[in-house]
Amino acid sequence: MQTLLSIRNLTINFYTYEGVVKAIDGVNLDVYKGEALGLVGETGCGKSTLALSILKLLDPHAKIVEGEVLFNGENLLQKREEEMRRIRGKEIAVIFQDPMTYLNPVLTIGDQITEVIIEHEDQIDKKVAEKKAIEMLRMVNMPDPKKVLSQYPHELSGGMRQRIMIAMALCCRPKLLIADEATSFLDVTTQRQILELIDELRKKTDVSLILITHDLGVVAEFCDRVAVMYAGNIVEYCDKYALFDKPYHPYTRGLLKATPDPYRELGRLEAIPGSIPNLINPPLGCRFHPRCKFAMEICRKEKPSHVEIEPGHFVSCHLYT
Amino acid sequence: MGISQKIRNWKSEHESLIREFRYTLYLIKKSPLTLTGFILTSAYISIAIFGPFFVEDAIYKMDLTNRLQPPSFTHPFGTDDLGRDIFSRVIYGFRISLIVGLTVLSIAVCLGVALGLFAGYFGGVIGEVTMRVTDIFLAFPSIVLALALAAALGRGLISAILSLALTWWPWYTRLIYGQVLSLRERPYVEASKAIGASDLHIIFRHILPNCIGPVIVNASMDFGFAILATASLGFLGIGAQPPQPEWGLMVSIGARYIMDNWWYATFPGLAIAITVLSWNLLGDGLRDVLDPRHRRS
Amino acid sequence: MKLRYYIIKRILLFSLVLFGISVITFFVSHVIPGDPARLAAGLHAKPEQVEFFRHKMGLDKPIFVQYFIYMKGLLQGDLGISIRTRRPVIEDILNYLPATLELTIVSLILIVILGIPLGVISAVHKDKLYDHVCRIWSLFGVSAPTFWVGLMVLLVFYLKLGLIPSGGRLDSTIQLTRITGLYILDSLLTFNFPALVSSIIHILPPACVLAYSELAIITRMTRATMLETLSQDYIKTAKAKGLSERKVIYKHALRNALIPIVSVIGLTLGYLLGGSFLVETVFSWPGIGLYAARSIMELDFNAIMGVTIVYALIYSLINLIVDIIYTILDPRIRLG
Repeated sequence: MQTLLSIRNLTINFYTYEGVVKAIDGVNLDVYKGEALGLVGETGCGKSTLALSILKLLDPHAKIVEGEVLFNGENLLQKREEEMRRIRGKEIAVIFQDPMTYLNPVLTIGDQITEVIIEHEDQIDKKVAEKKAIEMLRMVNMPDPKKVLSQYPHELSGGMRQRIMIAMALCCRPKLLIADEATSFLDVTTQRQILELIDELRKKTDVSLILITHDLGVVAEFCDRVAVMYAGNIVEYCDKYALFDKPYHPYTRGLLKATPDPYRELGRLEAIPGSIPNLINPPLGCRFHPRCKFAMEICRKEKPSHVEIEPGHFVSCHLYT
Repeated sequence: MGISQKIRNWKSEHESLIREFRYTLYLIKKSPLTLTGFILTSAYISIAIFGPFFVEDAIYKMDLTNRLQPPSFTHPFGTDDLGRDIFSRVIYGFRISLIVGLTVLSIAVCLGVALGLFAGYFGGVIGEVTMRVTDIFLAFPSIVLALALAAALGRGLISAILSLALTWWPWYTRLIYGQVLSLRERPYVEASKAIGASDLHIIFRHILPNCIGPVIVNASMDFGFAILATASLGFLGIGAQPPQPEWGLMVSIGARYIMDNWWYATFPGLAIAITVLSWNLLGDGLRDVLDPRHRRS
Repeated sequence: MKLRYYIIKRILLFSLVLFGISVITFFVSHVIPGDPARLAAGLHAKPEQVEFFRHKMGLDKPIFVQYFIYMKGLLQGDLGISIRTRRPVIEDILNYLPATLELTIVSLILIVILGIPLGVISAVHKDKLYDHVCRIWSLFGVSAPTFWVGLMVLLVFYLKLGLIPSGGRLDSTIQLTRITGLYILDSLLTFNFPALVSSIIHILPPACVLAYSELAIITRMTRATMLETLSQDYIKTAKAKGLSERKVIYKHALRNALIPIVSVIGLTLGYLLGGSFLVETVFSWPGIGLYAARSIMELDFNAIMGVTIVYALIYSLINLIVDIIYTILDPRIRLG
């Protein structure tokens, strides 16, 4: 298995009026070629921040304090803006969550797709770019692609707009695709359609995928491996079957218990007590310990390290160190 | 219960308000221009209130042997066509402008806000009619209407003040109206009605405090513009009349002598410019600071 | 479909406003003053002249009849006789209007050419030195009295440096055939090169002063809408696509930001009209502003009222046109 992307020890802080938000706390992650990696966690755990930091698209008051992001052997964090621009949209692409607000309302769909092609492929003719755009639209199952080219975002439905975002992202054949909660703003049926489309395209074009979601069901169906995130840390990291069969981390276990399972016996859903911590003053040691049933003395003092408890299965918990 | 206990109680009750206030001060401190505006406007008010006491004698004292003298140690701004010290007259002009600004704004704001409150709250025909009337007033460029009114009312500072106030109330009415419309649908208004609170009580106790914010911001910028407008009227001969030491009037007389006496028109005009600039800096900065989208970055 | 409906509605509203304008001007000219006839006749009028006006204005008749007489006069274009020039006010106004229009249009062009780029750069360099300097500079323009700025400009550039003329529209030695009354246009139409140069040299100082007085509006507005637009999600998408900074700012952000600016341009035009009074006075620019200023100084009431009505008319018309253009520009409204 070849590694496409490698995140090592990434630490990101946000500097605000109330204080320093320690949003990402030493994250380690790998994405292999051709696989779909699910990144799961509650809202606010830092998934989107992590994804955006790969492309260095963070807000100005965020600072990457430490770490490296290796893509094809090169550290992206050390690249100049000029070089990053050549990577964005061409080597690594993003699909965002709300296609209504993430598409420019006053530009035509055709314009927004062709501009990516024109930007990244030298000396390409507008007509050729348009042909390519139509090809992409067909690939994402858009009815009547030619007409769509001259339409505006608000004239299309949510599902169609998301297909356009996918088309825009894939038109330059990127090696890595990041889907940041790509289906949160769609209704359930459309969600499924879009996810199946992404899955199909991924297999066809052999692009690697980071699928960010808060829905374990999505992970179960469309991902190969999973990383579970909590309050800026990766707490568990393994392949999909291992996660559902043998979850090690108390947080993962809690998440699974809290998910309704149609095949399980009827009973009470167990929620994880407490709420996510304030990241300006995160808990010392393991950030999950205030809510953890199994918290020990050491959990309050020391941050647990990443341990490979089984081949390919990593946990960050003092129960296993 | 002792005083300190009472203060502590008040503080804990109004915790969020105090926090908002502190944050506002922090934002003001972070913006050097707003801070400058604040300092300058404080200086302006001090000069306007206390300055004249020092120069009261000099403002009308004529000295025909000393006409049109350039700036010197004894006359920092020079003397005018009747030998009067321009510096003292400019200082006194601060007070005149303060009084004018306050009067125009008080009338315009009270009238405008009151109309907006009632039109917005009672809605229906009254609301529609009031807003149409407001729209029509706003169809005139304000200086033009003020000029026409001032001409109709006759020369003098008082008619200038009145005509300006009558031209400006529509802005505040329109400003308040939209907000009142949405505020009156709020649950706490319905709740008050259910308890039997009178309309007047609801308007002044519940609705007004929630929409007063933009009014304050606008009023502080309008203060400067009120002074500017009065000066313009004075320049055109309708506002203040000689021998009042009003800035606009001084500039217009000074313009006649500008060929060989640059100081006469320059200093009063500079006073207007800096005064209005200070209020604009303050109002502009306040608007940015109070903008809810700007906060909590 | 929707667009047409909107335009018709807007025009109807416009007519209502026009009606309202006439009511207010009637009020100001007939009801407020102590003795409207006296004002109309002029301060130095003889008793018989006052009586003539009293009869003409129908001041002994009930208010509604008076208003009717007034409206009839307005619709026929009768704005009374100017005491000062002894000509019908409407004639004077039509005579002087092109000069003011030319001045206002040139000022507006200057404001747009200067203000929008300044605002864009301020937004991109938010809170840095450039932003602060720009803000003070443009706020100073709005704060300083236009008449004073004009005087200072004349003081420095005319009296001390001799670079600009002292006023007027054209060198007295140059001849120009008057077609539209807009001298730049007229000189272009008649291929009159010396007149073109002269009229441009004459119009630039007052236009610059007038533009400076309202520059802040456009600059601040552009800055504000740009900041708002730059924080939108679709800008993130544009950046994620790897587009150059220039493309992101000008193609994606500015196009969106410009839409609300169009309506501000209309507003600015209104303010420019108002400010033209003072600038024309200082630069002896023969437009309605100067006409009005002179009328005001002598309390020529008919002229004052005539000018007020014309200004209100033009102002409302501008607002109407801007509203319609705004609707056309925003594809969201256009396509429903």
